[in-house]
Amino acid sequence: MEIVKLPNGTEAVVAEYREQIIKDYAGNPYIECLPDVMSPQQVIEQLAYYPPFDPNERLLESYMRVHLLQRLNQFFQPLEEHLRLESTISTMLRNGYLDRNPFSSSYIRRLTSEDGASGSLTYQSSSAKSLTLVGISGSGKTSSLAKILSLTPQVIVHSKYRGKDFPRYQVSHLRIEAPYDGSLKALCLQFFMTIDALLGTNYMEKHGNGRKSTNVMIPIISKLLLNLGLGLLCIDEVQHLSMARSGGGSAVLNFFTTLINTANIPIILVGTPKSLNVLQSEFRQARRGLNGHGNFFWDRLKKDATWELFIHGLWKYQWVRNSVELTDEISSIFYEETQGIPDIAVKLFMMTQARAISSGNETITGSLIRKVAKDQLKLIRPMIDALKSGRKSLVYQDIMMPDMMEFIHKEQSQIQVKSYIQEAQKRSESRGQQIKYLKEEAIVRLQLLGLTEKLAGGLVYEAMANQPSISDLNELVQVAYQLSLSDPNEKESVKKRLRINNEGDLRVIVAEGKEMNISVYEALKQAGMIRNDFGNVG
Amino acid sequence: MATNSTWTEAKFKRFLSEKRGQGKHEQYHPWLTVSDIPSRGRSTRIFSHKANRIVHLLTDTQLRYFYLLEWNESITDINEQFPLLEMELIVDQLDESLLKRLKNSKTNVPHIMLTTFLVTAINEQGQEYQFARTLKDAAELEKKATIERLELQRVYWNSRKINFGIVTPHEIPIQKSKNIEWVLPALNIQYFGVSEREMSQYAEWMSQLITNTDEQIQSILHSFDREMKVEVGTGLLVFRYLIASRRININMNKEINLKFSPEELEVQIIDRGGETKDASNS
Repeated sequence: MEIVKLPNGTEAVVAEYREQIIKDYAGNPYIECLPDVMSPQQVIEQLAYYPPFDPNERLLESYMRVHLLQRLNQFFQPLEEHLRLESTISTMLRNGYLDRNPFSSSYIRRLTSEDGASGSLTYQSSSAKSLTLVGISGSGKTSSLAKILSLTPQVIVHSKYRGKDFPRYQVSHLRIEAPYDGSLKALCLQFFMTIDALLGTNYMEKHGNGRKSTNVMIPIISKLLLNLGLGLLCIDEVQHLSMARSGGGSAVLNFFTTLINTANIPIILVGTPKSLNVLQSEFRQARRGLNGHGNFFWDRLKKDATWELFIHGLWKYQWVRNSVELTDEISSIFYEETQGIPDIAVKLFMMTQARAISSGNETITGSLIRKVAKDQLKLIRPMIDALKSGRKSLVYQDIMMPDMMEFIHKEQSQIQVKSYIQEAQKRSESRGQQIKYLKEEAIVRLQLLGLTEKLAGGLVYEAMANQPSISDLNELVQVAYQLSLSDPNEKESVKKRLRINNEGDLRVIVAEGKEMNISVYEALKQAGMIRNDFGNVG
Repeated sequence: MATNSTWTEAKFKRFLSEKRGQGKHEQYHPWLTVSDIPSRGRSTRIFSHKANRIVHLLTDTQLRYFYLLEWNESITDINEQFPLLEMELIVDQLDESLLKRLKNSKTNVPHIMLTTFLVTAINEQGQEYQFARTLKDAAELEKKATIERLELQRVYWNSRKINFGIVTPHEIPIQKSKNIEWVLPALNIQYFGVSEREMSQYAEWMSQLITNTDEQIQSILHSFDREMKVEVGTGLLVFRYLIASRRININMNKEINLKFSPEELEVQIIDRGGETKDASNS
């Protein structure tokens, strides 16, 4: 895939035309340049994102591990719903282009007519479709959609198609957020800005000035979108339209209807359940005449295999020192506290770990999950409770997402509050664990080299005593092995080593004293550990 | 005031933020103060001339040992209840049973090992050195936990190349300690309503009296009070002052019985030049 950079920095793909297995798609440069239709297996591979994870990272200092937690933000576990959405979008995109073959005469006629939005052309057999994706906040609408859309390059550059000149940018999809106040003008300006940002054009300057009314802008936009060979128009946050002052929302929706009908561009409308009101009342008109691809309603995950798949994928990412197995109990607690909303589950998982790390407990437990949920999910508690009890009215209000960064910062500053001494202590703990791990590993490896466990232990101990800063396993094994080679009489050396290592150890002194049947005091005195600094004892 | 003695993370943080266990001389703050632990009625707060601040001693044995430290002329600083905060220095050398002693397995709050005294002294070559002593009853040494904690301290001080040792009451010369306890307060002459100038006069006089007699100390003191026309008991104060300020030397290991003569007490006068004169010979 050849990639060129547009003057404004956008990366565009140079079109390569593929042979189409589905005959309907052949002969259409807009379709032939798209990536091959993917099998569900491929989709899963492309969508899934499992952040890198190394169990040794658990040994890092706490303030480092808090950073690692951020990786979970990118965690993406594809579920059945995502596959369904992907295949729908894939078909929509291609079908949308079917009727807009730049080399079919009817299409060219339409393109060259003065008014792209001319009503006289709307009877053209429309292959454009609409799709609505409604889901509660945090169910992953926007992120999944972005992931799925990113499977197709956004800007494709054409120059020649089958020997004919075909200089053109093709924009496979455009994502626009519904204006927060539901005004049509804001929407139009957003179109110009989005396209300018993508292609480095200056439509905003040209058309976006205050003198032009929306009545003028809309036909311009329609034509613009046609020229760009736009494959899909994705309008996010549709629930904003319900905030529009009277008539505003319907004006915007009518505009979309027009787009679908005249420009033949498939539209995806995305919003929270709040947008159902708008869609049901205002958009019904538009949808009636259309053979929609259907509507997705993304509820929370049900507590079934889907949830288990999700939580098991997530569970691997424990950066706490003492990782624990996922039990049914913990899975249930997690479900209960998050009601199966994936985004909240990921956030709660992150926050629980941050708390476990900052508090020094270093273990995820059911009660800790509950406690963090209680403290941190306060704002969304009513929604969660509503979901639990099945009250829908509350659910349809938007769920406020907990502010993750603030929480992390708070936990982080908690860590920083601890003075340097405590930091050092944490370090000593991690160093302790690291050393334990090093020792154990080294002993195992030395055993593989044919040494007895006892000897290996002694050698490792000695090597570490000689070089206390050693931290590389290979190096340690090497040093210890060298030591074993330097001493031919193994048994003697073990004893000698053990003696050296124990030199001065009070416990050994006490034990030896016991053998000689003298008191601990006496034994320590003989070993010179009891100090009489001030002469005569009176 | 006895406070809650439960060791918690919050307390640990507070102690650290108070910079306990850090500093030298008057800036040093002991890890535990008398007010931090429930009193068994045996703790003492006492001013140390070496440290130039109030030191906190939690048992009688600590107090007795403190007197010995305070008395020794080579010692320049005393840090009591000294916490071993940098255990990461020695963590490499610890086996598991010792590592377990470093923190509470349930709460993960670090246990802080305390060495009773970290002492700074000057050796004969005029170089500063330190030694660390932990006071323990001999009976306590029979406990495995005690030995493990002591072993941690030993390893710690060993790694810092500071001499470490254990002191039990057997090693404390009680009489000497009691004698020091008896003479030391006389240094605070202002408490007794005596000015520096007066005291130096009295001291001069007393030295004279002691040098030239074989009488019992108590009769010397008696005649001092009478001849100088001062409050009864002033002579005794001056005598204590002379010992405490090292203007006279006596055998501190013997009981200071006022019925003894200067010779019996092995009194030596230290004159201004610092030379020693044997009282009985002059």
